[in-house]
Formats: sequence, structure tokens, C-alpha cells
Amino acid sequence: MTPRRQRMLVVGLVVAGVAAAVGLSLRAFQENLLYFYTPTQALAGEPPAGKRFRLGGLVEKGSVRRESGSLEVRFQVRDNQQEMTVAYSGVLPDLFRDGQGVIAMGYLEPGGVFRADEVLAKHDENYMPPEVAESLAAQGHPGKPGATVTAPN
Amino acid sequence: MWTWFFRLASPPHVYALAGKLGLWFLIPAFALLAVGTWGGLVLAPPDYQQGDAFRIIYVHVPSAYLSMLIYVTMALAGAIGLIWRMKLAHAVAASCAPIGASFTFAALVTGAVWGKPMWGTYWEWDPRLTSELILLFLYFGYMGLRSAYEDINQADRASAILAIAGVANVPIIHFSVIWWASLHQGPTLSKLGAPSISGAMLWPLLTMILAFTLYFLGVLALRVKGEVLAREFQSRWAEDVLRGISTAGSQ
Amino acid sequence: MEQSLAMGGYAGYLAVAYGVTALVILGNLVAARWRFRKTRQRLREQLSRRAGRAEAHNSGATVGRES
Repeated sequence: MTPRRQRMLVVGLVVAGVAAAVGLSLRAFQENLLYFYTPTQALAGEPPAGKRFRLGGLVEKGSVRRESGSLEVRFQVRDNQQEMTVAYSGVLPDLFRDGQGVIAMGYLEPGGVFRADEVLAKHDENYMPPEVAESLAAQGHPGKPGATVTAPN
Repeated sequence: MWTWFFRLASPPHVYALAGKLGLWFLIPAFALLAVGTWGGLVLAPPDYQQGDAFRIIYVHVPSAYLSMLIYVTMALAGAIGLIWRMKLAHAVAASCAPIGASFTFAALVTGAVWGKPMWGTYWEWDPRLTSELILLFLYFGYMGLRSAYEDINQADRASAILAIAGVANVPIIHFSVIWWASLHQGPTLSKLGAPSISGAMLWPLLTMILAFTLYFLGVLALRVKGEVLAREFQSRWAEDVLRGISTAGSQ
Repeated sequence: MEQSLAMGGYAGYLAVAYGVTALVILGNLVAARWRFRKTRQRLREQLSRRAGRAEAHNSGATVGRES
């Protein structure tokens, strides 16, 4: 083996070794890397009990209820199977609206209501002018706006 | 078949070429930057959900793309330098790091000011955001490691290994939005099938991506020029250049 | 005109994003040129110092032979 081939082998081994190490640790830490739980996962008891976690899903259309005289707001967050009530008191981001993907940080109250202290809006990867979005909606185009939320894995 | 490659890699040739290439890349880059910025800020219509805030895409996506492209270039140059003992490749790798770090920074800042009005937060420990931050630290680590060595050959070798090991982070950045549930949206341009962005919004984005790429190549050429001169200080041609005898790459 | 400059209330965020990117683009160019000039300057000084030393060495040798 020429020295050059030897060095090539070493570089290849470094790349392969690091890739394997990263891949394995990602597999092992998948649970911790899970950025949010869907309502289905949360209702199945996947998040550790009594701990704060993030709940992600779509705002159910027409479910947003504001209490008059305060910032308190309640809405349903759903994935494609289950839904969950979220209670939140504070300012909502500009993108928060019916059908929008949201991520709420908080904990599950004993009554089954998710008490959030932070609500973030998730936008999708689609970009179009308002007129295009309107005509797509008029045609009943599936999935736009507001795609489905599926659990990872 | 490799003779052209090694002729290309002869230092005086590279030095002369880099000076010319710098301008050839930078002039069209700035022209395209002007066109793309005008297209993005004025001609493109506002987004159906995000309104005018989406216009940040025209600086955010090209910066983020460059941050990864430059890292891959740096790791590849480092690997070529290690395997073929090619000093020029190490000069390229060393020149990449500060440019890459600055665009990683730009991607993080432009993303933060997009995130605040849209998501509701400047920063989240989301997989995409976290892996991009790790990229910034990899660049810092690379530059720090280089400056820790007195001997340039040792610096080249050690930093090349760091660059190659860190390249594993690049696919993680790219696929983070697919592999994990994340706050950051999925890919718009690089997914299979048609990009999910309307044509009037797409062309300024593609123009900006091309402009940023040309800009990187131009600045890289300028940096490589200085790097080659410093490394070849002991040689006859470098002395001629410094004394103003040779016109190679004069500006 | 005023309305389009307000960018739907996002003008501040857009200004920061475009401003930082413009600074990075100009900064890289300035840094690359500055670094090249600094390197050239440093190498020229080294070169003239080396030439100076060689001269001093030569004259020193002549003095030594005379004494």
C-alpha cells in the first residue's frame, strides 16, 4: 500500500468513524432530541409525568376562545388522531390563527388541560402570494394551507 | 490524467490566477446581488401568511446555504491536502474558515429576526437552530486550532482532521427538519418534486443563491492569494512578486 | 410609497436582517483585501531585513579580516 493510499484510508476511517458515532448517539438520544410531542403522544402518556414538555399540533378551526377582559385564551390543538385543550395567558405570535401549526411549552394539568406559558407558531415551507392561496383554497386543494402534523418516526 | 491538476496547483500559477478570478467572480456577484435584492424587496409579492416578513428568506436562505457549502469545501480541501500532501489545498481550507463563520453568523441573526415576529421567539433549542450553532462553533474551533500551532504544517494537518470530523454535522443540519419534529419548517427548494414557492418569489431567491456562491468564490480567491504568497515566501517567484519585479497577480 | 416602506410593520426586522447580511458581505471583502495587504507588507519588511542582514554580515567579514 502506498503512503498516499494509507492516508486516504485514514481520512476515510475518520469520516466513517465520526459518522457512525454521531449516528449511534442520535439513535440513543432520539427521545431527548424530540422537540415536541403530538396530542396523541401526550394522551398516551409518552411525556414524563409532572414534567414540562412541548406540545405541537394544529389549532383546531373555530376552537379559539378568548376570555373578555384578560389575555387568557383557550384553544384545541390536534394532530390527525387526537386533540387536546391548551390554556394560555399572554401575547400570541403574528402567525397564530386557525389551522396553524403551533408549539406550546407547559405542563399537563390534572383535568387534562395543557397549561402553556409560551406559544410559538410554526410556519410551513410553502410560500405564495395571497391570491394564489385564495384560489387554491377555492379549489379545495388538500393540505394547503396548514399541512398535517405527524409524529416523528 | 492528473497533470493539469498539478500544473493548476503550482503556486505562482495559482497566485496569478487567483487575482484575476477574484474580480471575475465578484463583479457578476454584486450585479446579481443588486438584482436579487430588488426582486426580493420590491418585485416579489408578500406571502399569504407571513406578509412582508417572509422577505428575510432572500438573505437567510443564501447565508445558511453558504455556511454549509463553505464547510464542505473546507473539509474537502483539508482531505485533499492530507491525502495528496498538497499545500495549496490547505491554503484553500484555511481561507474558507473566516468566510464560513461570518455567513453562519448571518444565517443565525437573519433567522432570529425572522423567528421573532413569525414564531414568537428569537431563539429556540430546536434541532435545526442548535446544529447551525454547532457549525459556528466548529468554524471557531477550526480557527482556534490553527492559531494554536506555530508550525504551519502541523496546523494544516490538525485543522484538516477537525474539519473532516465536523463534516458529519452538515447532513444533520440539512435533515434535522425532516428527522425530528422541529419548530423550523421543512425544506422548500431541495425536496423531491417542485419547490413549494411560487415563481414570482422563487427567481429572486435563486438569483441571490447564485450571487452568494459567486461572492464566496471571489472572496476565497482573494484570501488564497495572500495565503499562497505567505506560504511561498522562501521561493524565488514570491520574492520577485514582493520586490515588484514580477507582475504575477499585480493589482 | 410610505406604506410599502413600512413593510406591513416588519420594516425593523427586515432592516436588521438585510443590514447584518450587507455588513457580512462588505466586511469579508474588506477583511480579505486588508489581510492580503498586511501579509504583503510584512513579507516585504522581512525581505528587506534579510537583505540588510546579509549586507552587514559581508561588511563584518571584511572588518574581521583587516584586524
